[in-house]
Amino acid sequence: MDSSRLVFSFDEADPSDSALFGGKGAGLAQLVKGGYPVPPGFIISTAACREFMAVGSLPPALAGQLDRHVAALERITSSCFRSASEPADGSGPLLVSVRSGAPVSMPGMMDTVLNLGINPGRANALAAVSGSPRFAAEVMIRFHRMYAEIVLGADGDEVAERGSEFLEGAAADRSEGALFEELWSEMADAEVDNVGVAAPEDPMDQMRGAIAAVFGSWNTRRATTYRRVNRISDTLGTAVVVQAMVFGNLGSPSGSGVAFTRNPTTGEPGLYGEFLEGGQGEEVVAGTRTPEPLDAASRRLPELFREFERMALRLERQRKDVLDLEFTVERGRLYLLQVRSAKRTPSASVRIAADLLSEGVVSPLEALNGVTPGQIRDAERPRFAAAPLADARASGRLLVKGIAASVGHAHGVAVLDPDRAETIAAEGENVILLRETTSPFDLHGMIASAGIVTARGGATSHAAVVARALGRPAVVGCSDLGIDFAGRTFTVGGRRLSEGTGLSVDGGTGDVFEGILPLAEPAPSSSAGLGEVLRVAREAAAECSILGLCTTAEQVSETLAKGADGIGIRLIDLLVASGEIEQLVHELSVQRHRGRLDLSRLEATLADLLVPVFEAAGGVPVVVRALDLFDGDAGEFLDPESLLVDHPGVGLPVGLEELLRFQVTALARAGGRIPGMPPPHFVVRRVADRGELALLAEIATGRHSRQGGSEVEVGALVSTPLGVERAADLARASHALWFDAHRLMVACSGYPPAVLSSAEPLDEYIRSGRLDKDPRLGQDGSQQRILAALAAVRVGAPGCRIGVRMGRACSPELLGAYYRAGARLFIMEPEDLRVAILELGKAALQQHSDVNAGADAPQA
Amino acid sequence: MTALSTDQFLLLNALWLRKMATRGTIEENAGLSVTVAESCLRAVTELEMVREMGDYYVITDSGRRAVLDYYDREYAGLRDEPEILEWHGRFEGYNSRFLSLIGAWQKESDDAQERTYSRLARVVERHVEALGVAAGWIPRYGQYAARFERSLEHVDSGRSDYVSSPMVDSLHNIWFEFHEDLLAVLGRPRESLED
Repeated sequence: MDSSRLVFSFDEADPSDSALFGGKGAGLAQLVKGGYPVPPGFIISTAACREFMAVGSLPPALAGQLDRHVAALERITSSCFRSASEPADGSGPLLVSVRSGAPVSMPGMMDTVLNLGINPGRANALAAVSGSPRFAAEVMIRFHRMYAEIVLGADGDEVAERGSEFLEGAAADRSEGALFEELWSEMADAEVDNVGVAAPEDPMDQMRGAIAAVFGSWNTRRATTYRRVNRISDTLGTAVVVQAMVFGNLGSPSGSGVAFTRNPTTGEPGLYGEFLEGGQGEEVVAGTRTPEPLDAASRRLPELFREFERMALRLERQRKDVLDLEFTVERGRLYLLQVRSAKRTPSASVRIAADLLSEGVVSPLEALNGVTPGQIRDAERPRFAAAPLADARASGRLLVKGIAASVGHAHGVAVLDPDRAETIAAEGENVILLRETTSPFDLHGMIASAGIVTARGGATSHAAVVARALGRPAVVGCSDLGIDFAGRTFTVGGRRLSEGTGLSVDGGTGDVFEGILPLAEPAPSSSAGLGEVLRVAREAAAECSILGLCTTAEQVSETLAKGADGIGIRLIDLLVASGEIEQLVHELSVQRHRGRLDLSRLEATLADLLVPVFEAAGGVPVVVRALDLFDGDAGEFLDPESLLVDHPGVGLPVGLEELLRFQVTALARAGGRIPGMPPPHFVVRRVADRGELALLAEIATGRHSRQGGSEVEVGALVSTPLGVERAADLARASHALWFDAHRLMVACSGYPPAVLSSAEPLDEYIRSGRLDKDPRLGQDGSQQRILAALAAVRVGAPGCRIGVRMGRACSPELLGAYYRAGARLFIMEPEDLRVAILELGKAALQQHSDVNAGADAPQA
Repeated sequence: MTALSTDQFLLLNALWLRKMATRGTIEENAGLSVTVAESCLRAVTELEMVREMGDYYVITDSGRRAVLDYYDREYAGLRDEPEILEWHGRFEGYNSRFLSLIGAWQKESDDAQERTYSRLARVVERHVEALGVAAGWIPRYGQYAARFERSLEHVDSGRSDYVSSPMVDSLHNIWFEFHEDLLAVLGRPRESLED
């Protein structure tokens, strides 16, 4: 390509070259190539931006090229931009938009200036063509607002306000010509007052100003920071898109609309949207005039909308995603103004993924990739059960209605004071905080509460903003609510209720009910498509067993209902939850001077704790993690240092034999009481040597041969670098080898566990460039060595299955990395189960597609 | 009633606005050096204007009264100044834009949020400039500008909680405190002495 060429019309640009044409420009080029109607225009390439940055002004070569492309645009639209005279056929003046379009989407860039080309003379022409001087004046105001804000750096809202005020006050008998002249100079004055310069009247000057502003915005503080943090090259530069404006109020039939290819709230298939005949797009968006539903409009203009629907559905299949389309009809001609992936609710997103798959639009992998962990978690969020909710409504228990300020369902007792809210919540009670308004003084109470209701304030009040930031359901501005703070009562329509009354809050509808409505996690079947998505994922990851971590029999049933293939148990959880840990601590303390520890008294106790859990498991695989008293397990109850003095062997993985014997015996006893239960798998952390495994095996078999009970399988849960190094060797002596992903991360980085399981401060640490690779994503060198050890196990001990215990809310990246390295057994926190199913499904399908792509690729 | 010194007011005002704060937050928001803040905090604690609750400090009724008295005494002369009133009028414009943008931002998906945040950041940047002007009358307003700048920087580097989270010194937090401060300067605090 000629390197001196800086400007390209849409049909000249290569849709695959977003480095040169930017994301927006390449997208438009693609639409044009696909035969879709978009308003004509051209792209100024990123090369021009790079030149601009080098010399600090628009490249000299640009002027001539710009002129030629504007001339071509004038020809295509048979209207004029450069000269003051208007074409005789009355087709009107040419106005254009100028937009930035970087190769990667970036914040902080100048976005859009509309209506370039307008000036008092053009406004006259526009008024004549549209038959509406008011419209022409609004086009002018809108231009000034954006040009002032973006190109001049003035306060655009203030400039536009001056314009609007002038327009309201202008005498009706004024001639149009004078009106436009005065309106223009009013806003130009406002600009001069604000920043010392005004928007130029000459259309080409406007265009050059806007282009330079786009290029200049590449180096705004925000854009520069973003590139630094995200390691995007400063030399990429941005392209500029110049496009003819089309108007939905010129001639008939004309109009503007927005449409989704599926309902973005429910995911229901079918074109969904609105059309405003004779109106402009911004009127639809701003809600200043009421548009009609798309199906009503299509009854009047059937041909036009049949064409639109065909186009929209073809685009959806091509882009393999639900689309949000902005379009304008100008004198019967349809133009697509904007095509992007549609914003959607989490539940719609799940349904859409399932539907696109069953319609054959997307592959299973593409369908799963369309669903995020956050959307799965959201679909699992507890909400009011349907029947009690309907009943509450029917029996008049809807107490008050306010502004829906923060979505979600919550119930609890009404409390009027933030301090009391905190106290009552600390006792384990759910609290709904009821306030006149809130201020920072209420913050601790808001944090402690499950939901928030205020009597005054709107959607931007302190209560609303803070509730959304905290993720608490909230209803604000319930004007029927009276609060008597001192009397600890509140009134609704003459009724007086006291603090402590049960309330249920729906922050999505603004309803507040009297009484506690039960909250339940919705079944997958109640969320359209969720069951299907999970089934596809589960099928793809059929080789994997996903186990959920449980403590109680009740949890076991819930976890299995969520789709777990087995359960994991930490013995420490059992002891702590039952309080029996005190007994263990006591024994360890009183026996500190004895040569040999005797814990046989506790065997029956632990077995009794295990029996109901095993029973609930009903024959699925069970993995039990041994106590690790030295390493963080019982920190609240034991001081590891004094434990080490009392029982030095506890510092080593299998150094305190009696402690292990007691656990294995309890397991065998409990297992023996459940007919047909497969042997539980007992795994010990920090094990790194076959000698240690041999001792464990001896404890297990020795015990079995002496006393009967069920068999217990023993194995290692690798949690140290030493264990990683010996993994293949350990695997040769095991049926299954487990890795503790979170512990390994702690051991490799030396960071405390809590730092690795929360977003901050580590996110900030990485963003600010202190640390190159995020250990939580499995990308750094030490993590790579762990993954390589898994691969070595796969090769060196093919008979040994590889398992991983993933930490709470582990990253999908880490889960995928372990899968690719060969892990097929996973122990997850129960709340992460469905996310794990989804992400393992993605990883399995991705691996499958990579393998196929590799097979298809020509051999090098 | 003892009148507050300027430094004591700065310290107490920072706490009055935050309602409940650690020593570090008070020092930083008041814009006082550690040693000055230390002695002021001791003085107002002795006067029982401040109470210590674990790691936090809260302001007492007499502390609130002293803060509002100081506003009345110190700023009564400014309240009819046309310049100030005009400045306030302009702020009210920013305020309604800021609040509606922050509400929109909280409800949007990531890609739409970016656009809204750009507009929000522009409003904040303009307000920061305006604070530079106001600092000519009320020097401590420069402290708000510094806090806004710091939080903008945080958001730019990816900490989106610095937009509206009440748990950090977010834009919304600073804005809310500034608004309270300005209303008190103008003699119409949301919280009156009779409360």
